[in-house]
Order: sequence, then structure tokens, then C-alpha cells
Amino acid sequence: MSIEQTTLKASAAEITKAMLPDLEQLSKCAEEPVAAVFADSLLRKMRSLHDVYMYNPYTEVVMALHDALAHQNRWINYTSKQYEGAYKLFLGLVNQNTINNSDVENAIISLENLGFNTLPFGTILEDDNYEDSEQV
Amino acid sequence: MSEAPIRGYFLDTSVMRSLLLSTQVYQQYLDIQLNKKELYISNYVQMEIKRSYLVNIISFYFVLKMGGINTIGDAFALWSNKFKGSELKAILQVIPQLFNDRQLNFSNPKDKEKAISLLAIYIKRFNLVIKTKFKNTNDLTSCARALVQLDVDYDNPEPGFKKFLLEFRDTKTCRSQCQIDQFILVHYRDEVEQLLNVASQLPRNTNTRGFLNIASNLKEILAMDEKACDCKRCEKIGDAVIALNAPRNLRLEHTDSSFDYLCPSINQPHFKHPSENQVVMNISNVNLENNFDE
Repeated sequence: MSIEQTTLKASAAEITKAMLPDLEQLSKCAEEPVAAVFADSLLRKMRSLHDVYMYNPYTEVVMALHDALAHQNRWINYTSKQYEGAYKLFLGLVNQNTINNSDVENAIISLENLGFNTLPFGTILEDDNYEDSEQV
Repeated sequence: MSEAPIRGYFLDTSVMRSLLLSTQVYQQYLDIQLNKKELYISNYVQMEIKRSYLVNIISFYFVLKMGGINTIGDAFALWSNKFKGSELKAILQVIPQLFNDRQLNFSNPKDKEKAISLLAIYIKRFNLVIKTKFKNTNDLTSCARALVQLDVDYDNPEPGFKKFLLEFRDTKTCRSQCQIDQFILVHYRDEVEQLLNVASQLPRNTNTRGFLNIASNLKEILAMDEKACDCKRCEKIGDAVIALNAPRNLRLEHTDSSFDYLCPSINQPHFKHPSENQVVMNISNVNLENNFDE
């Protein structure tokens, strides 16, 4: 008798659900050194979600928060209230089990409204008065 | 006669771009300066952001996807060797941060697919944020390029990106649908003539050069009528379009010198912010002085 090993793949919603305890903890200890424990755990789960589900609506929302938190270790600057807002937002999303494009957009806008900078990448832009260059 | 109170801040493209893409230091400076009132943009300003950044990151997405590009590093190498403009260089400075935060390996072919997906997610998010972060004012130019939609399927982004690029670059069709000729030749003709009058009295130097170039293009439009109005020329007179289109009860926020000449003669309240380099240098100098004091 052959023994077949079956691996059950967790859904994107389930992996997202696994992030909730970290967000809940962050909502209690934000800005404290111990927050690093939960931020590290959260960021790892976020990256593993992207590893498994590169094209998925849950991944889009999760990566928006990932970028806001991971860039320049900004997770340390966000407050308990902001993490609590993120927890409630993601709780609502995972309870839906499936989400559509409109849910994704609303969730990202909500993250922005909570004060998470989902586009944190920046550079010293050249004094780009390209309109001012010689172009008559 | 007292001036009408300022109801909010109307962002020129340079300030909107800085709020989205500059360093944290400069963003903090702008946040402090602009936190008292609502922030507004127009569709035209949004179009300029799409033209100068969104189109380029979508183009980079297709470079990254190419068969001959094995790694993320290959895509950056090709881009940096072939594309030199300041707007194109911004890609090389911003996008690596996105990939680094995700801890992708720039030399490992296995990470290329993750980078492609990450970039697609970022592009969609960038487009969403520019559409929703600021309040919109009426765009009297009815710029049709600004209205080109970026509709992307999360599981298959490529067709949506391609459709956007094709429609955005179809300036002939876009021009046939916009009102830039009416805007310059009818609606704001008197103001444009005033601007030309101001320009005729200015010497050409570093400060005035941008404004004088704009004036020269406006003069050609007045001389040639709508034949002279195309998207290329519209790009050259962008600051004038933004100044004329700005609601007079909003203060126009900018960094470009041209607005110092465009705004006063059309009674547009405005404020010129120091450049990012000036703000960063100023903070460095203050820190240096504090260190000496200590």
C-alpha cells in the first residue's frame, strides 16, 4: 500500500488571518521595544503570503501595509490606534473570505486614512524644472 | 478692496510629485507647511504625474518582464545604460527600495517573478493613491489624457498596462477630445495676452528662462490658433495651464520659478517652496550649528 502525502495549501485569506494576532499585539505595545517581536513576525507572514500568492487581492492589501511598515523600519513610528485600525480592517477582510478589486481599493484608501504611508519610497528629486529647460 | 480668503492649497505637479516621491525629510517639511487647509489638484496635474512617472514605471515593468532579462539587476542595468533623463533616473532610485524592502535578490533569477508581481501591485496602488489622496478641482482643459483609465486585473496585469500605455500615448485621439485650444484662445485669451506683455519686459536669465519659454509657446499658439495646440506643446506650457486653471480662492503651491511670473498678473495667490535640496541643506546646516554649540 502506497502512502501518499497530501499537503493542504492555506488560502490567502487564511494566511492573512494568521497576521491578526500580530496586529492585535502591536495595537497593545506600539512604539515599545517589544513591538519588534510582533513586527518581525508580521512582516515575515506578509512576505510568505506574497511568496505563495503573488497575484491575489489579499496580497495587494497586505503588501500595501507591508511597504508602509517595512520601509526604513517605519513600523516603529506607528501608534497603537493605527495598528488597532489595521487589525479591524483586516479582520473585516478575512471574514469575507473572498474580496474583489473594489474591496482592495477601499482597504488601501482606509490604510492611507489611518495614516499608513503606503507609498513610502522616495528620493531626492532633481530640481526638475524640466519645463524650465531650453525647449522653445 | 480686501482679497478673498484662501480656501485651500492647489498643488502644482512639482509639489504633488514631492508629496508622493520625495525623501521623508522633504515630505515632512511639506506636511507641516500644508496641514492647515485641504489639498487640491486638477485632472491636468494628475495627467502630468502619469506622464512623468506612471508611464515610466509601467515601461520598466515591461523591461523587467522581457525574456532576455534574467534578473532584477539585468533590468536596472539596461534601464540605467539606455535611459538618462531625470524622470527616468527616478525609477532607478525609487523601485530598488520597493524590492529591497521585500528582501529580493537582484542577482537571483528566481526573484524576478516576485519583482514583477510586486511592481504590478505598486503601480496599481500608486494610480489609486493619486486618484484619491487629493480633492479634485474642475479641469477646464478637459484633458483627455488625464481621463485614460488604468484598469488592471490582479491576476493578469499586463493587458491593462498595455491598454493604458497605448491610449495615453495616442495623443492624436486625446487631443481631438480636449479643450486646450478653447482654454487658451477663448476662455483665458486676455490673461494669456497679459502674460505675453509681462514676458516682453523681462530680461532672460536663470530665473526668467522657464517663464519666457512658456510665453514663447503661448505666443505661437495665439499666432497659429488651434493648429499649434497639441499634447507636445501643451507639455511645454504646462505651468501656464496649471496657473490659469487654478481656482483663485486656492493658493497655488509650487517650487518652479515660472509661477513667480505667471501668478501675479492673473491674480492667482501662490507660494514658492524651497527645493528639496535647499530644505535638506538647511537642516544639515542647523544640525551642524547645533553640534558646534554643544
